[in-house]
Amino acid sequence: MVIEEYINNKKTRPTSVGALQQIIKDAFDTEHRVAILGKGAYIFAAPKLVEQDIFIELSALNRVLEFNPDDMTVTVECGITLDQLNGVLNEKGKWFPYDGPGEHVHTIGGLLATGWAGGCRIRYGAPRDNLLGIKVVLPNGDLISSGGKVVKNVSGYDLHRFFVGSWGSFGAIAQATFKVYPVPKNSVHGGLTSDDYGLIKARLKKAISYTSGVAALVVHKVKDTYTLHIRVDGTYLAVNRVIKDLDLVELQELDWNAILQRNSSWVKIVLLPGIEIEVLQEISCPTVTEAVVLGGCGAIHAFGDIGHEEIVALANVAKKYSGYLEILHARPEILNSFGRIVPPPSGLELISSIKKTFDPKGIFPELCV
Amino acid sequence: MLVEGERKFMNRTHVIEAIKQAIGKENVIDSPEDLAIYARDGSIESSIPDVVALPRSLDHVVRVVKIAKQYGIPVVPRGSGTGLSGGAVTEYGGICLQFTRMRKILKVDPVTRTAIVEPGVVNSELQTAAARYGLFFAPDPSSQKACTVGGNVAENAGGPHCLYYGVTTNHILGVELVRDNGEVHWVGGVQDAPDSGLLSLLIGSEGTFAIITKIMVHLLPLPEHVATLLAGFPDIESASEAVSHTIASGIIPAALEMMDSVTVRAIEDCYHAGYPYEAGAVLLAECEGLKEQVEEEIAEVEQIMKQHGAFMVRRAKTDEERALLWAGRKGAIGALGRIKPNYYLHDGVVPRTKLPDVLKEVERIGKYFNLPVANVFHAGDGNLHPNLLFDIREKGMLDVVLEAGQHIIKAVVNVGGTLSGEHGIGIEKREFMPLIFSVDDIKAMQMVKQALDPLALMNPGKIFPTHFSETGRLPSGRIGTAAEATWW
Repeated sequence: MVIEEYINNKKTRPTSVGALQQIIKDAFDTEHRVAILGKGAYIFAAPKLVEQDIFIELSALNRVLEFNPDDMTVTVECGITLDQLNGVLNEKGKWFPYDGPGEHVHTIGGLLATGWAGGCRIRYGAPRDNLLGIKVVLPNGDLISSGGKVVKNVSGYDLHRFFVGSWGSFGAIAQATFKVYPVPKNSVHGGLTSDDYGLIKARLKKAISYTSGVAALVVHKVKDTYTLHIRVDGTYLAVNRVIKDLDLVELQELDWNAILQRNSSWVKIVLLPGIEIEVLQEISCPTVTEAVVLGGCGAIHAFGDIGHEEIVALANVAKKYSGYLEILHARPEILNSFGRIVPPPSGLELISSIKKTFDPKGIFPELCV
Repeated sequence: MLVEGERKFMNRTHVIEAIKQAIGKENVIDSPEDLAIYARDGSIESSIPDVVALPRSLDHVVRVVKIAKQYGIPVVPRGSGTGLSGGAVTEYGGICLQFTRMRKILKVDPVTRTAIVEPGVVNSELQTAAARYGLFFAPDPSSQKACTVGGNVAENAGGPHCLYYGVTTNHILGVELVRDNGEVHWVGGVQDAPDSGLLSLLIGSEGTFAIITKIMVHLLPLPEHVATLLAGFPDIESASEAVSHTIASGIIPAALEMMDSVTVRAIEDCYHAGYPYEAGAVLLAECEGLKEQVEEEIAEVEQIMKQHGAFMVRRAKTDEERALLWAGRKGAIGALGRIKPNYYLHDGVVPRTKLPDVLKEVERIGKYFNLPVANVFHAGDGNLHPNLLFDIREKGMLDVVLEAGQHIIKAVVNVGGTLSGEHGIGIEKREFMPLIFSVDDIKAMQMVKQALDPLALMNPGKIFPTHFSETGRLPSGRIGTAAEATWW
């Protein structure tokens, strides 16, 4: 049986959606557990995945299926990376906005599965906001569609948005259609570095008061030094006015990859937007050596060598603001002790009931909480 | 042993009495003449509920929902009844849960740019409250003076300015909901909450999963500068070309609305909004943002309009002039009542480059069925709103209109479009679902419905094709059974 081959090899790399369907159907029939990977770059953030029997890597499904620059929509296979996609889009003056972790190497499927967003969501929305439709292989091997290819759509349930951030627990996202954006006429990346928290906070607050133009606001804290990164998009005169008003100098863009490489632990506090910079000051754990604040996005990423006590402290900060602590990379004993999300979300029971309906045999990974 | 009719009657009396005891008789409507008011929404669908409950609190909602479960009867939430797809129509009777008395704005927080509201808050009331802090709620349906935020969430409503800002789902951070068993849950609550996928699923689910009792919305800062442009074109084709070229140029206006000659004349006769009476079509374009950018973009839009045949282009010089232009647009459907007493409206969406072809086809369909068609729509999104104008008192006319509507929907689907951009599927478009979704697609949606509402008591009969469960390809279970039930 073909399934034996997958199990023996542990990993398979289908080259068509039909092949992907067949593998999943075989696994369903024989009750083998599968894990869907893009390139597997962030598998550490989903520890449940490693317990699965078969890894299905989608990196060979990497074609742009349909690109309509005048309609500003694109349909892709989900193994395509963000760099590959933007390479195609840029040729026609368009781009897919994402500037969070894995901004160059993430596959589209991986991006959707993680549900991550970057700082530019304040102007362009998160990937979930720009997702128009998907095709998904369900645990029983059925290929289903949700959404469509037009920019506005309320036909049926928004299952496609439900799949975003589900860490591959409900099915394998095979194809996706997105709204894309015109490459801005001018885009400037500027900022300032200081160890004066008050100065950084004041500049951030001023920047956030702009009603448009400011496309991303990110504060990178390393020990006691803060760097405010600001992306300004728009026409020449508008961009220049903002840069001058905020007194920004040219800066290197934030390098997420380098941050992830030099740290052994990574957690994210999600909270209401607009209070991130104040909450940052409440993170006083000595082993948190770096933090990235996504201004106006309700997210603080913290890095370092984060232990049990620090997790408790960080979870208390999140709880104080009715938010959550998401543990993305940590020692196994910490994950065993806390789970992935602290506290578990109140909608978990409802999500679990959908999981049981979609995946009655538990073929796909358990919910990543 | 009771015969069926007697059993039904007894249960009905029991249910109404139980609801009166649970939430007070002053919050219950059960007289036939009053119930008739709740038979309709803004669509052509109609069905009288057995009882209307007007909860004043979360506790009231929980009590009513528990009674509904106890007796196995459906619950249909209703905001202001402005919906256009029959979503709030109690097709199978049961309880209409009318949210008029849950309309408090509980909190507006300018720091986090959020507000928490009860579902019965009217969209424009929220706009007024937010504006005090220099903020606004982006979804702005034309019915915003009457429609509720709860209804906006249920239908995932849009509006003219959603071209730039996105639709309701992009601006909701969390909801409080009541399940069929009376359990209360908060879903979402912060940006990127671990259950935000579930939140996305709830928004636009047309009340078919649970009853939403509180909503946390994300507000945006009011723009620094706004420029509004009116352009008159000789015909709808040239206006459509101007739309396609505006979007292709890389400019995303805040709004880009089109009205055809039938609509323009009705608006002018009604509102004197300053639209060119002789135009074959007009475009209303608006750019918002930083002053320098807006001025540059509106000048470019003006140039594109002229290049594609605009015989007049006029920019609003004052806030009053701008407000009048928008009053014309937002009152357009009401103005069409001067032509015929009834309208039938579809809101399919097409790729924007297909607008000229599809509008020609809509015109051809109108002529074939000898029906006046008035187009007033969100052109920048490709979101059509062809209004088929008719008089329902003319014998057989409704059937003609429905058939014409089917042809329009098929024309939309044939170019890769979808059934609805913002009005929802409801009763009106459910039979068209197989045009865009396979059996497996619909089955997957029904699996979610079954997981969240296993007794199928929440707004039954909406979204799914009526005969779908008879195809034999679905699991039997409880899917759709409430819709077929004879509870009383």
